[in-house]
Amino acid sequence: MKKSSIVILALVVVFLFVLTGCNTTKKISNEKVVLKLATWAGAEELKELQGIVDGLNTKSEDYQIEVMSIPSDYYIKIQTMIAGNTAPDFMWLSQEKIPAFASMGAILDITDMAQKNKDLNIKGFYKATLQTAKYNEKLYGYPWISQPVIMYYNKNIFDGAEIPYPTMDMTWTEFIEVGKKLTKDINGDGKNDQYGFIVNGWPPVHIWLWTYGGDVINSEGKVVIDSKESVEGIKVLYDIINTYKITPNSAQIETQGFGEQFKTGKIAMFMGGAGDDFEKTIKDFEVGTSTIPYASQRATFNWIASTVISSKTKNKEVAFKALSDLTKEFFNWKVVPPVKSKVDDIAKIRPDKEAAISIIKKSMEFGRGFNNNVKQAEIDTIIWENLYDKILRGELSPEEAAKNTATKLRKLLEK
Amino acid sequence: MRLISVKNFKKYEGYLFIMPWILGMLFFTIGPIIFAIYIGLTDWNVLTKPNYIGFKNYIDIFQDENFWNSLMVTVKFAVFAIPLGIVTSLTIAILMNKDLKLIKIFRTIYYLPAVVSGVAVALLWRWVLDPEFGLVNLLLGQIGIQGPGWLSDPNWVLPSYIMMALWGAGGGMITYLVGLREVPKTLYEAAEIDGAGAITKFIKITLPLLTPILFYNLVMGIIGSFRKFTDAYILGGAGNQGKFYLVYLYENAFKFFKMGYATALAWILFVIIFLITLLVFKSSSFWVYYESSEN
Repeated sequence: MKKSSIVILALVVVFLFVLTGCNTTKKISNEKVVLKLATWAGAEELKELQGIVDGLNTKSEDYQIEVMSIPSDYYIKIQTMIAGNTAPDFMWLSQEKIPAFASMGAILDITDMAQKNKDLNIKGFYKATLQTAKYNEKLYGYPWISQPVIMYYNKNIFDGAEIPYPTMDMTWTEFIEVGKKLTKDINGDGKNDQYGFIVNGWPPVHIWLWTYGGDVINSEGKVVIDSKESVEGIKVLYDIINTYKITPNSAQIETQGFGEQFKTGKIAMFMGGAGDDFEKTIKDFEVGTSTIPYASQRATFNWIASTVISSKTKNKEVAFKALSDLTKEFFNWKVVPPVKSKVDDIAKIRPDKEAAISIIKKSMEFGRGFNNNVKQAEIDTIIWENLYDKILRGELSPEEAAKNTATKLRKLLEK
Repeated sequence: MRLISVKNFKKYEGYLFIMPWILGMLFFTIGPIIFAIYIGLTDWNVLTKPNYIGFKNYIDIFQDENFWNSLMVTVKFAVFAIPLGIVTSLTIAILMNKDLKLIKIFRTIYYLPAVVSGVAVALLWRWVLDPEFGLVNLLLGQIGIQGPGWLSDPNWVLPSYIMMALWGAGGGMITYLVGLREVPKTLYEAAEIDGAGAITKFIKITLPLLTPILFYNLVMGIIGSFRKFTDAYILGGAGNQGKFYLVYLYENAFKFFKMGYATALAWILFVIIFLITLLVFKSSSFWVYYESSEN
């Protein structure tokens, strides 16, 4: 081979960092305002959504909603579309994304329109739910789904061990006691094959922080993850994993799955979203539900998503009307609807949830989202890398992990 | 006048034919590169207008411990994976250079990893490295060794990635194979007459004549290692040990809304790759032998 050709070949490779972008086309209808709805829904969920949208489109004389399904790389795609000035009119945003999108002016402040909206009274929402759609006290969207974390338990395991089922009054101390009794070696090979609980990064560490009166960042934006209350909560998580070992270790979880281990009857108590379908899909044992344990306070994490309007939408009034109509339809579609008046109707949407309604209702009352921040993605990464992961591996004590995390968070928020 | 212009036209006619590529290069490669220099000096978050902030991104990067961590992970990987990769590829090529029956089938099998998509490879390895049901630990179990949690134990993350890289060594084989085939038979014959054994022939003839190919693969290996992304993005790795440079860059660009910062990271990566490549180029005059340059 010639020297020159090798040099050229190598240099070409060094220089080739190619950026690509994508583009979309915009349709204009003469009569109705065409509005695009970006969704992460795909497959079955997408069909259901399309059905809802078709129904609204037939009824409405003002708007025509087009569903744009982006089942993978959803946020990258919509960020690129916003950057390219082709933002969809409506977007689904998970709660932790709202402050960032709002602070960058990508989504529309609907506070005034929502206050005047007679079709959908914002007072009907659970307060903590609506809070996640706000940034600097301005409302940027309507929540359409919420998933408070509740406890699912395997009734057969409890029956077998003659231990009473968990109740809504269970504290973390009681939880650990029960967990210890239910963690055992069933087949006698010297290794535990049934566990009281399972944890691997889920549920969020916040549920321990909150139930002990702590937090990561408080509502004033101050880092409090190293406060006395927070550390107390982290200690309980640490004890569950490392002291009492009532959960399978991370290698076991990696191979045997997380939810799967509950489904196969190896886990006594499992924390999942209120919309999970364990009651329907598990046939081998009976599933019970309860609220998550508590300590000094009642709390649970509530995962919430909202539909927001792009700040670049052409006809804001029509778009808002469509958003309001859509959101009302969503309340009859998904469990759990984030409005008080619909929670009793859960069984109509999901008959399998009938027995859990009182638990879900209670959890919706004390459930909450994070105190979301513009830098939420970075905050979550710091918490995972410096706190949760370290505790899971037992590499750091709760105090050390909390201290390191707090230092990093303070540094991040100072910038 | 007319004659001259026709003559001139003839002279530049060629450029007209290559214009699509020139324009493409200008708009889609040179343009973005220049734009990226500017973006690296701004706080662009993708969604709003970029603000010029001078060299702040670069100053921040050098104080960012995640940057140093990702750089260390990447450098450690490169230091082990490149030499091992070259040795493995060369060994396979020598084996595949034998004139045996069915050798073409073997060559195809060894080359296969190079044509499989990176994502598919990553998913495959996730299974292979599975602590309990994976192939690696299953085989280790057969000889009585309890295999580690490859990707879940921080100490084993780097070896896992090196192993994955070596699995793809067959892709590099093809260039060595070409090189081996180009070595004149007469040289071997002459050496044999002088009584040279297999090892002497390899060291004195094969290796010197393969140095241009080794050089090419070294440069490509450096670039490839620093740009490692796909499998690292999919598989991750415990305790931040799977966070390669480009994974960190991607996080900043698409998760943290820090496109300016990420672009600055990309430029630093470019400079690092460029300097190392330059160093290798400079060193090449000492160890790379070109047939054409020496008569």
